[in-house]
Amino acid sequence: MQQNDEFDNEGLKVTAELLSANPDFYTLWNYRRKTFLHIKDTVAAEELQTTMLNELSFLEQCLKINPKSYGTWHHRGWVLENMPEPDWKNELRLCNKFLEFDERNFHCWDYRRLVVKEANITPEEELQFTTNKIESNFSNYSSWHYRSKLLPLVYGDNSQPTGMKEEQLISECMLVQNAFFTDPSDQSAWFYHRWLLGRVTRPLRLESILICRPQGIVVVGLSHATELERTTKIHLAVGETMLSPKWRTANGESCSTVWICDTDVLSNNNATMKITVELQTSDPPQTVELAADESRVHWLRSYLPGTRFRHEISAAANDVLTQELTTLQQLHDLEPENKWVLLTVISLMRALDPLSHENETFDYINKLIEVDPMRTSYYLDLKSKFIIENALESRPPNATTVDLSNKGLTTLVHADAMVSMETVNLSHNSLQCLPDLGYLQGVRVLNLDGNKLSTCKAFYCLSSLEELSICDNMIKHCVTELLLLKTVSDISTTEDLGALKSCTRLTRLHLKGNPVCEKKSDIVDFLMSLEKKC
Amino acid sequence: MAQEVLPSDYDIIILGTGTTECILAAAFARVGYKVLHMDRNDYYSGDWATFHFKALRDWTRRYNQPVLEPSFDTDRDSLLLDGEQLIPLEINGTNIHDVSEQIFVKEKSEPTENDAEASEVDTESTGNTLKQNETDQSQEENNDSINTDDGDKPLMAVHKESPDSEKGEKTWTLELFEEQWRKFNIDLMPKILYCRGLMVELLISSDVAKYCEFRTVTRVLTMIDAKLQQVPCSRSDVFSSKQVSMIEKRMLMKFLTFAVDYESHHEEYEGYEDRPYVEFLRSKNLSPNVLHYILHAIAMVTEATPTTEGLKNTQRFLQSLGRYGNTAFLWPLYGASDLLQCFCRVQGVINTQGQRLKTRQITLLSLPPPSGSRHPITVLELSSLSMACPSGLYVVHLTCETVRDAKSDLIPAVQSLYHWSADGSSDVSKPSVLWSLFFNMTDTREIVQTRNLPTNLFVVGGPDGGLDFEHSIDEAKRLFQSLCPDEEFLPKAPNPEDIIFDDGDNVTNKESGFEGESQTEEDLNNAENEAREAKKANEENPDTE
Repeated sequence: MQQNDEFDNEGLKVTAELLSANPDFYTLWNYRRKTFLHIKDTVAAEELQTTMLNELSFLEQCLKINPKSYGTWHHRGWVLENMPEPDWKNELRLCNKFLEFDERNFHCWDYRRLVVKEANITPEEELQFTTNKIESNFSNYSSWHYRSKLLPLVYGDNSQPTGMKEEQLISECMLVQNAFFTDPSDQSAWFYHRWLLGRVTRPLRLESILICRPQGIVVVGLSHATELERTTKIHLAVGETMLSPKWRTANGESCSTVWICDTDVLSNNNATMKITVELQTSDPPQTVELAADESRVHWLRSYLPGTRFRHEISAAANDVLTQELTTLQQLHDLEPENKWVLLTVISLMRALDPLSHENETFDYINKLIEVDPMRTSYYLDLKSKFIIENALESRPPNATTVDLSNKGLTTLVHADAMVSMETVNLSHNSLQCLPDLGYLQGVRVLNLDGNKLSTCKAFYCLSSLEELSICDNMIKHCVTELLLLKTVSDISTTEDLGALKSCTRLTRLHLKGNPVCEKKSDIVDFLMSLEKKC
Repeated sequence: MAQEVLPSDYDIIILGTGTTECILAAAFARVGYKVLHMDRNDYYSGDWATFHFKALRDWTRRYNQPVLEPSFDTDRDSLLLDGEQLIPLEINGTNIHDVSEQIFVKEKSEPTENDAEASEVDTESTGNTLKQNETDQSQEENNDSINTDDGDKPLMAVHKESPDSEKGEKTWTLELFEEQWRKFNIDLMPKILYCRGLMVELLISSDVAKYCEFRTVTRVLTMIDAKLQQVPCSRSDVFSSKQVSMIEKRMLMKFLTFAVDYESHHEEYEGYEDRPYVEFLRSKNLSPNVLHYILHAIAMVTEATPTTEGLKNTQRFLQSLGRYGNTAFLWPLYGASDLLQCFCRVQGVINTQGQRLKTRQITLLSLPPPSGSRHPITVLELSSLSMACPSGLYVVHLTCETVRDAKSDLIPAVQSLYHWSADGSSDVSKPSVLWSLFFNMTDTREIVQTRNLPTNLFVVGGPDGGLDFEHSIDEAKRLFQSLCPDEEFLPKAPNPEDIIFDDGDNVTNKESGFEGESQTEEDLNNAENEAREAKKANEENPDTE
C-alpha cells in the first residue's frame, strides 16, 4: 500500500484491525502516520481534529488491550503533536488512570513526561503526584526515580553538596525511612535512599605524578577514567620546552585513570629537571622537580584523613549522616538479618569515619556473608576494598611502601592510587587475578606469595619491577607465556611488548611452590632468555 | 404471574429466604433440580431482611403488638394424604424481642402535636440521629442508628472537620425521613464480606457476583484512650500512618507478615495455642498501640480469645487485604437482603457486570465488650453512598452479644460515639442521633431439633453475630453435599457466549443447567427487567406477595 501511495480510509480500517490484534507492529503505525500526514494536507482543520480524536479513542482501546506497547504510546504522542487542538490536560488524566491500574507501567510514566512538558504541569504538582503514588504503593522504582528528577527542580540548592535544600533532604530521608521500616526487604526504597545521600562528582584533575628517569617514563594519575584526546589533553613540559609525547595506558585500554608516556628527554641526561604536567581543563598545572642524580620523583594530591575515598559514598552533611546511622542501627536491632540494613549501615559508617568504624564494618560484612551467602564473593571484594582504602588512608602521605599482606584480599582495587609505591606486599591473600596491576608503574619490589594466581599476564608492563616474588601460587604456564611473548618481540612492536621490555629490569624472580617448578628445563630456558635480554 | 397455577411437583421445597435458604435454592436449581422457594413474609430474607424506612417502621410496630396464634378455618388434617404428615411452623417472629424505637427529631418542621401512634415512639424533639437494634440466643444485639450531619461529614470523625456548610443547615424531621423512605436500606443483620471470605469466593465461583454491586469498607477505626483512630492495616497504611512511630511500623509489619503465614511458623507461638491471644501478643514485645490494633481492630477478638483463634482471625483479615483495593471488606450495596436475592436470580441470565465502586466512607469499628460479655461490639457506619440512607444521613449499626437487653448493653457505646439527647440540645463534638431502634434477635445457629422430623425435612439457622456470612455458607454447603454428594456446589452458569442462537430464535445450550425453557437474549433481558420491576413493585407495595 505504501509503495502505491495508497493512504486512505480503507488502509486505516485494515491497519486498525491488525493493530487491535497486535499493537507492536510498528510498520502499521508508520503507515497510519503517513496516512494522517496525507490527510492533513487535504482537509480542513476541523475535519482533521475529528479524525485525530477518533484516532485517540482508537488508541485508548488499543492501550486497554495492551497497556505496555511502545508503538501505541509513541503513536499517541505523535497524534497529539500533530492535531490542531491537542488536549494535553486530558492526556494527563489518561496517564493518571493508567497509572492507577498499574503504577509500575513505565511506558505510561514515559508518556507522562511528554504530557507534563506539553501541558505545562509544574514540577511541584508532579512531585505531589509521586507522593500519592508512593503512599499507595512504595514498591515502585518509577515513582521514586521520577521523584529524584523532580526534587532538584523544586528544592534545588547549589550551595548544598547534594544539590538539594537540606530541610528537604531530611524530609525525604524521613519518607524513605517510613518505607524501609515498613518493609525493609523492598529494594526500591533502599536504592532511593542511596541516591538521596548522593555522591560527589569530583572534577577531572591530577591525582598523582610519577617520573622515573632510567625508564624514561612519566606516569599521570587522574581523578576519573578518561579517554585522552576525546575529553582532555595532558600537556607535558620539561623546563620551558613543551613536549608532545604519545600517551598510552598500562594495559592498552582506551579509557583509564592512569596514563603513561615514554620520553627520551628524561633518560638522556642526569641534570635537574622541572617537569610540568597540565590538564587541558581548569585544573592548575603541577610541577615536580627531578633533582640531578635522582632516578625518580612523585607528587600526590593531599587529602584530609578519611576523605580520600568518601566522595564515592555520600555528599550529605555529617549531621544528616549521623542521624541516618542512628536510625538505621535501630532498624538493625529489629532486623539483624536484613542485608539492606547492614549494607546501608556499612556505607554510612564509611562515609562518616572509615577508620574508627573499621572493626564494626568488618563485623557487619561477616554478618552479610552469613545472611546472604549467595553474594559472598561480592562482600569479600567489598571488604578488600575497605581494607585497601583504610591502608592507604592510614599510611604517611609520602610513604613508598604499602603492606597489604595477610588481609584476606580477594581483589586489588585502587591500584591507581599506588602509582608511586616502590614496595608493595600483597602476600598471603586470596588474589586470583590482578587486572589493574599495570598501574603500579613505580613498583620495584612486589610480593605476591601465597595467593591464587594462575597466570602472569598482569606483570607484563611493570616498568620498574626489579624483584617479583610469586611463591606458592598456582602458576602453571607463566614461563611459556613469557617465552612466547619474548619470541614475538623479535618480530613485532606492540605496546604489550614495550611493557615487556620495561619488565626487563626484573632481576629476581621467586617461583617456589608453583606447579611450573616441576618443569625445570622450561625455567632454565626462561631465565637464560631473561639474561640475554638484559 | 401470581395468578398462574403453580406446578405441583418439586424436587426441593425451601421455606424462607434467609441466607442458607437462598444459597441452597440457587445450588439446587443450578444443578437441575426443580425448586419451589417460598417465604411466608411479605418481604424477602426473614430476619436477614433489609428494609426501607416505612417497612422498617411497620416491622417495628408488628413486634410491639401481641403475637397471635394463627387460626385455620379449614380442618387441616383432612387435606393430608396417606403418608403425609403436618408439621406446623414456629410462630413467626419469636426470634425478635425487646424492639424499641426512639425518635429524636420533630414530627414535622413546624412543631405539632404528637400523633402518639405507637406506644414505643416518643417523638421528643430535634436532635440529629437514628438507632435500631437486634439480638440472639447466644445473646446478640444490634443497634441501628441513623445520624445526620449536614453535608457528608462522617459521623465518627477521626479528624475534626469543619462542618460542611454547602447545603446549609438542614433540620431533619420524621416527615423528611418518610418522604425519602425509599432511600433507606436498613439491614436487620448487617453483614460485610471479607474480600477473601467464603461469601466472596462463592459469589465468584458461582458467577453470582455479576448480579451484585459492592463498595469497599474504607477504614477500620479503633478507640484508644477514648479517641478514635484509624488503624493502619495494610502495607501502604503503615507506610503513610503518622500515628505510629518508625519502630512501631516495623513491629506491626513484622507481626502481620508472620500472621499471614502463621501455620508455617509454629515455633513462634508454641505453648501459646490455647492461652489467650493477648498473652502471646505481649510476648512479642509489641508497643501498647500496636497490640491494641492487632487485638481489637485486625483480629477483632477479645483479651480472652485463645491464640490460635486470634491468629486465624488476624490471618483472615490480612488475606482479604489488597484483593479489591486497600481494604479487607466489601459492603453489599442496598444491604444484605439484596445480596441474598442475587442468589434467587441465578436462573436468569443477566448482562450487567459486577462492580466495585469507590466509597466516601464506610467505617468499621470494634469496641470493647459491654460489661458482662466477652464479645466486642461491632460498629458499622454507612454513608449515603452505601445506599443505606439519603444523602446527609448516616446509618450506624451496633451489634453485640446480649447481656441484658439491646438498649442497656449498647447505650454506653452509643453515647461514647454520638450525641444522644432527647432534649434537642446539640454537641458540636459528636454527631447527633436522630432516630434509633433497639432490638434483640435470637441466635438460631445451633438449632436444637426438639421434635422428630421426617428424614426429608431439614431445619437451618437464622442470622448469626459474625461479620460475614461464613456460618450460613458452611451450613448450606454441608446440607447440599449431604443431599447431593455427587454434585458440584454452585458451579458457574454457562457463559452466555456459549449459548447458540439458531434461526428459529431458539436457544440451545451447549452445557447443562438451563433445562426447559428456551429464551432469546432479549427474553432474558426482559426477564431480568421484570425481576427488577417486580422487586421494586414489591418494595412499593409490600402487600402484593
